[in-house]
Amino acid sequence: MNLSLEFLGIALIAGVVHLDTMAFLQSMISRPIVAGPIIGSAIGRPESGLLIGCIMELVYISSVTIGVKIPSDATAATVMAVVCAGVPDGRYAAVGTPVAMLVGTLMGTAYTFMDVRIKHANSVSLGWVDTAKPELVDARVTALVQRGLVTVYLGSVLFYLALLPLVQFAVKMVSEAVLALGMERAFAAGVWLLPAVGIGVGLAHFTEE
Amino acid sequence: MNLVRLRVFIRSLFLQSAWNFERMQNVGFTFALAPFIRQLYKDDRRRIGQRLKDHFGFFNTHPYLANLLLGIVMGLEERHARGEIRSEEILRTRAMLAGPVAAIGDRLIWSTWRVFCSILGIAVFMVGGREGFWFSPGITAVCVTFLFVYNAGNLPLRYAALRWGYDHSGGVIQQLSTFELQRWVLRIRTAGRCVLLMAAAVYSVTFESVVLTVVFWLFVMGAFTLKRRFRAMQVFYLLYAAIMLVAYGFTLGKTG
Repeated sequence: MNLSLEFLGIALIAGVVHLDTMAFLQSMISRPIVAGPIIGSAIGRPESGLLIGCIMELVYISSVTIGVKIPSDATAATVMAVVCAGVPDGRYAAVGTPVAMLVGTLMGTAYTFMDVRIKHANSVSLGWVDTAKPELVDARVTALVQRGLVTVYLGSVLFYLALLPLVQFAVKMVSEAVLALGMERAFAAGVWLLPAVGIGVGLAHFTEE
Repeated sequence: MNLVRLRVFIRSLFLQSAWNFERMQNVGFTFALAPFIRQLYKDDRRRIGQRLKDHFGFFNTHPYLANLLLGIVMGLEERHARGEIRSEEILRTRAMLAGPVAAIGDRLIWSTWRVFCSILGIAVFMVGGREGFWFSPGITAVCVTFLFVYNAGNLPLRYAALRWGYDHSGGVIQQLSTFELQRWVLRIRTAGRCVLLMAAAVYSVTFESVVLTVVFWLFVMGAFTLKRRFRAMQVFYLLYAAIMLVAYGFTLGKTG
């Protein structure tokens, strides 16, 4: 019961963060570097949220939605990674962060799949304004904007409610496998090497013409 | 007039709420423009609806600089209401400017300014965020650095673009060319590279072993080289596996 309430709380907060990705304002609170600490603070692990947020920001440093090019969702990847990093406890606590980050990036791709469906659904509704009498156009355009916001918010909330338990289970299983292979120290040490990937990608991004 | 402009500005923040693959930002653009059209035609709901319907066609540009086009269209709509220009001219101007404005915004804001601000936030984390006592203030410092620096250029730019577009609807593109945007892009990118390299240097010397520091820089160079041929996520998965293998070998060597 408590776990369900925690999932609901995370999903409701993450939904607000997701609105910032594209639907409203784009003040970049949805970027991993901010979303990580926000979600981390909500679940009582702000330090872990900051660490994962910063590494994820580096991984996704050159990723942004431009026109029809919709990359893997950095916000969903970060939220999933931050929430699931704390699942493994006891003997395999150290492997939680790197495993959750790996699984999180896959969830970012899953979120993009849903996001594309929402955008296709928005296309279908355009006819509602096209066929409207001129007197009704203003109200219908407003309704489309409101519907767009609600769809993104509810879509995100449902995404987390449906997948968080599964992803937590997956992280736990992978962590146990890592432990069985005797690689837990490697995973714990590897986290501190991961920023190298983002730094290299960032440098390459700023060198490209 | 200022109140209407403020309402258009606030509504412009919802530009991509109903983004779609068919006409992209058309819903948000029409929604943002509505208060201005309503002010022009007062109680003539039929005329208001007709004007809004005209703007409901394909529209796509950079979401921040869209305000520049909103301002330009507002100026042209005023002239249209006075009977000076035809609706087709407004739509043609909008379509002609959307592409170049998007190109400027994508290069200057998305791929330069946003990335530069991320680098600043990450630099704060890498330099101080790992130490125990740093964490609580560190979280605030990282988030505030990123959000404050980024948004210092976001909302003011969006409002100024709306105002500027409305005031100088005719010669906006000529005026834009005097800002030497390309030079600014190159300056920001050079500064970003320097900050990233310095932060990485500070971060890498905190490793316990010199071997790990060398391995870290090898991975930086590896990612740099691979990014030229592969997408960022592919580089991540490839090097993630490599990092775990190297770290495994390193820990085996230590325990052995």
